[in-house]
Amino acid sequence: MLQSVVKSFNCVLLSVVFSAPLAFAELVELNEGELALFRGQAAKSSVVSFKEPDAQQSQSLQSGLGPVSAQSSVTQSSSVPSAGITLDIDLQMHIDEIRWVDVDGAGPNGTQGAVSIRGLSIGHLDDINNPAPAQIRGVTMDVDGRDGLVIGIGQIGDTQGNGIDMYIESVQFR
Amino acid sequence: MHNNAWKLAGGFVLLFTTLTIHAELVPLADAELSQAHAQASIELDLQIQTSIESITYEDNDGAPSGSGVGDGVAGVLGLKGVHLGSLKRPITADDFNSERPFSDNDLAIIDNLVIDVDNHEGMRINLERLGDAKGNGLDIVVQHLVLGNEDTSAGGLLIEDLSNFISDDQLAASNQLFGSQLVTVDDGLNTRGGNFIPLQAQIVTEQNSALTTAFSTGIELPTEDVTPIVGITALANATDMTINSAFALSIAKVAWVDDGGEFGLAGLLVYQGIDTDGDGIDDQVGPAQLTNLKMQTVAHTSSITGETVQAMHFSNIDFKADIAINSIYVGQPENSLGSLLIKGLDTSGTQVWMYSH
Repeated sequence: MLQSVVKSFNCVLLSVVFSAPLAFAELVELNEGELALFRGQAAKSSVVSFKEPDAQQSQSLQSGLGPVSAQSSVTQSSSVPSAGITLDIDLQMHIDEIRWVDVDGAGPNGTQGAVSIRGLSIGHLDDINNPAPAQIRGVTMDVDGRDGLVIGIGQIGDTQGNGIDMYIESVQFR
Repeated sequence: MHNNAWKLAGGFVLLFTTLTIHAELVPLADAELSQAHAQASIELDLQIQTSIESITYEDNDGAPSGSGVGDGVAGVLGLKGVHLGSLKRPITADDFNSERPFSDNDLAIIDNLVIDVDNHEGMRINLERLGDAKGNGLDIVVQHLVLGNEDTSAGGLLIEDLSNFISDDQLAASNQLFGSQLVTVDDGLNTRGGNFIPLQAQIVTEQNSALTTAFSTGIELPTEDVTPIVGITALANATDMTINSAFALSIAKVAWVDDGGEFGLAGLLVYQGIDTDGDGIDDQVGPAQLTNLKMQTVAHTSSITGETVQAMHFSNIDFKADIAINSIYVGQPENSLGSLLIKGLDTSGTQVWMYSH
């Protein structure tokens, strides 16, 4: 039995040795026309050009290597989230004094003077001794390639007619 | 042989010494361990100069026009040609427009920046000196502001000599303009011509009661739109951040720059006056204060759509400050439109929700 195993092995070995020189492959160059028919598979991506917002963008969506029959095109992937900031603000502010100073007064012989606003309060001031914040809702900020920085305000005040109150204790000229 | 004997003897000495000298490690009890605290902090002295080609925010769907949603054009909000450094002289138009406004030696000084982290007090930051004692602070040049169209510039921005050094000269000018009698407190740094007022900030993260309950009972908190991370999910939903800050700033110039001309504020001071003797008149320059600004993400009803959205909630925007502007100008600071003082600004009670649309 051992002899038979050895003989079988020798046969296999000999067949490999003799057949190796007989099996060969030759690498042949593809010409440019044949090469152009093939595409590699790249990751799916969508690019929106800010300079050409209406441009059609092509994507490589072919599966595996193979001839491309037609190019697919999309404008913008639906997976890109919308952008823009919305602010809802409860505003309450108090300033003891705002003073604007004119250093040289009026005319060539003028003297320094000032306008002073004192005790400025902003908010919901139905009770001036217990101020509350005023509502500003839906302040939107978008940046648009055509229209620039766009700011919108949806609602000033609440739905019961309470808007922004402003109270000034005094205005003074000095 | 003599040498070998000595070596042998030394070896025996070492051996016997090792056998006779020993120490016993005794474990400390938990109570004793809790008494021990390691002292650590980070202290930095920096000299900085930075150039950034651009910083941009992209709005990929633009703004809806009057005809409705979906017809906006993607736009960019950006800063281009950002340079940080410190020139020891006023910045000229040529400096502003130069490809390299600051040379290698034009470094902004940040000295004695100390960062401490405490289990109860959170992170504490203390900055002793921004700029030098001659008023040469941080200069910031932004050569182009982009508002929408990336190919067009809306001018530039210049911030000159941002510092926490309040000079006697600037304070004297402000006192003369606004009839005040403010002085600065000796900073103990032997500075002449003024004093530094430290910039301080504290950031504390807090866990609310829901988090405590979750970890004690094993209840899993709702994880709407949050990818669960083992042991961290509850933290992501239930941790607040509270910020306290105190600072005084002097800025030589803040200006919008357009084709060589400027519209800006010169001699800007942000501080808070302190009445030390109780006569109703502020006599000392103290720091402006932001107190207990709380930031957290919350469920909020959108005022645009009425839907429930996740919003960043800034509650208790309690900011108190005085702001003195020596000159509001067009062209150059000498062409002044006047001086402005905002005294006793107090925004406590204000809060903001911020979310996307």
